[in-house]
Amino acid sequence: MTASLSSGAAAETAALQQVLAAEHAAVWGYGVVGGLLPAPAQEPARSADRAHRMRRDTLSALLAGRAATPVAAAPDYDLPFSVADAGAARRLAVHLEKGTAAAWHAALAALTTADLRRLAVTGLTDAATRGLQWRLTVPGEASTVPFPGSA
Amino acid sequence: MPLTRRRFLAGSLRVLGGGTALVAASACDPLGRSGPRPRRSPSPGPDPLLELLAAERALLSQYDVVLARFPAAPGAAAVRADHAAHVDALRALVHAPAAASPAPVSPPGTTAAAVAMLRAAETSAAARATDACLAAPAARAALLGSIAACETAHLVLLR
Repeated sequence: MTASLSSGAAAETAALQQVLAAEHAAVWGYGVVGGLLPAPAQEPARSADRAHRMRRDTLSALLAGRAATPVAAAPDYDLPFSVADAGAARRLAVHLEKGTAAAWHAALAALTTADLRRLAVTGLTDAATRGLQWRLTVPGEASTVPFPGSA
Repeated sequence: MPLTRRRFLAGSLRVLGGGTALVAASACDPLGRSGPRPRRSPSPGPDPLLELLAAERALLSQYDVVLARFPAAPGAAAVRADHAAHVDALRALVHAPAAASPAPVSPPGTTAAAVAMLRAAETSAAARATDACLAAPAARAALLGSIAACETAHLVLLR
């Protein structure tokens, strides 16, 4: 019992670290997005950036509380495609929300503590909602997907 | 993990999706069989997801009623397709037979009232799916969380 409980706790910690890594990447990515959108369109990017920073800080605190060292942001990231104008910035925002949704979705099975699972549902829900809002601004994107976060 | 730091954004956001299997596979046995959670052992009662499935079917029929009366109701057609996918996924999970039709609902008199009804229904549905996710064993958590997220996001389209 003790061994399996502790391996459950280790799985939770690993899952939280993976989500934290995705949130770090999203915060970095929104720095790129924000710089390319015209002023009137920047508020959604700023608001998303704040939301991801908040999740990042929550996850870091949770991990520190579990005596784990929170993974750090990378000094640099590769963009998934060339991002040089507002249209590409919106597509990058879609990509960032899809990535964070996938991270929260992946964490759900490992998070068995009720508070952590609730956090993951909230994180997934927020990423899905922002992702849909961004997709509506990108021509050719599906407006809604039935299973956000799944491949 | 064989990713360099520079590859991280392209890599991690994609690989994390693939990482699902890694996390789920390593967590599956200890989490699925050893914990003190009550629903782990085979329980004699009906599958708790049957209730969620019935509610999803009722929601789907609400969309049918609204779309029959207001085919251009904003967002309704796209959202209906998501719920049809939810019903299929839940049915596969609980091995339920194809449905008896839920009791018919009468449509509201205006598009605005119909959309308001659907928004309220989505909010309730998301809350139900969230509760189901919180009570579910590990193997079902991701699907139920995803359904909850999808239903909340629908509010963006239903206006």
